Amino acid sequence: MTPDPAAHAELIRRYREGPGVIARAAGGVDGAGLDRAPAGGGWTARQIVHHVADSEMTSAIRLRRLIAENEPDLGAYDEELFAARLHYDRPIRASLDAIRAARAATAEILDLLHGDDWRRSGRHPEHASYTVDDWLRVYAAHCHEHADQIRRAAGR
Amino acid sequence: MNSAALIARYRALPDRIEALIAAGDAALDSPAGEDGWTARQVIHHLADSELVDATRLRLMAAEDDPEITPYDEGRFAARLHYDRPIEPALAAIRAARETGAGILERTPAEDFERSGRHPEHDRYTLGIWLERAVEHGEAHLDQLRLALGR
Repeated sequence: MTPDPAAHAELIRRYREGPGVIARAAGGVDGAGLDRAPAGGGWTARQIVHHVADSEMTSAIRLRRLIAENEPDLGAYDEELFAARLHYDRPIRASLDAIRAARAATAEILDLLHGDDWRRSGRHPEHASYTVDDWLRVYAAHCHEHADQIRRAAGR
Repeated sequence: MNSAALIARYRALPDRIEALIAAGDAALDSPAGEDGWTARQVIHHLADSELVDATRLRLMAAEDDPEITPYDEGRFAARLHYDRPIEPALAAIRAARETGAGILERTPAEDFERSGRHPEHDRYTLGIWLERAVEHGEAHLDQLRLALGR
């Protein structure tokens, strides 16, 4: 795909907007709502915030490997095991800060990418081909999708 | 190993780094030491290595004997624009350690023996990871002090 600077600028804007979108969704939930078990099953709002923090720190490193290394192995992790074993009953404040910090630091790298950088690729366990462009399309939407999930889990 | 003391040192690093740095610090870009790294480059290296470490901690605490993938810190420094502003990097160091400490403080003693497969180490456990993270951070704190002339 031909890099499209205007499309990338819009995706980077969405990427930067994500932490605020998550913080507002979580901030609109009271203490009991954070731990409310969703009617249809699945994660609580608190668990979703920790998932996003862990996922955003991992994705920040994936982006760096895609830019700095040649065809890096991006590795996989088991998000259900993370949720089960990484004490997702913790307070959410540090995780909200981690989402904000991982994205703020990474967005500054995204601003400096150009031309061929967007076609740099790596080996992703769940994708046949995975480029910087693919990475940005996934993560530009990641926080917004989970903010919707937080509101549903909390019954709002 | 006294993990509580190590966790306290692990958690203390962001405050110790930020105590060294003044806003708009002109010394941030003065090369110092044999390696010639500036304080700004050291801070970006620490932010990236702390994010990598955050993923390793989680993999080893959650999964059974996961594969740990090394990364090329020289290429990171050369290609990831380590001339960027430092504030987001400082926030990333703090956030990685704060969330990591939250996990470590809830980790039972026996879980510090949980292992990972690291190609550069015959034996790699959560306990070894923590010792190395603390030492790595404090070594770069000394390097920062030298680079900043403080």
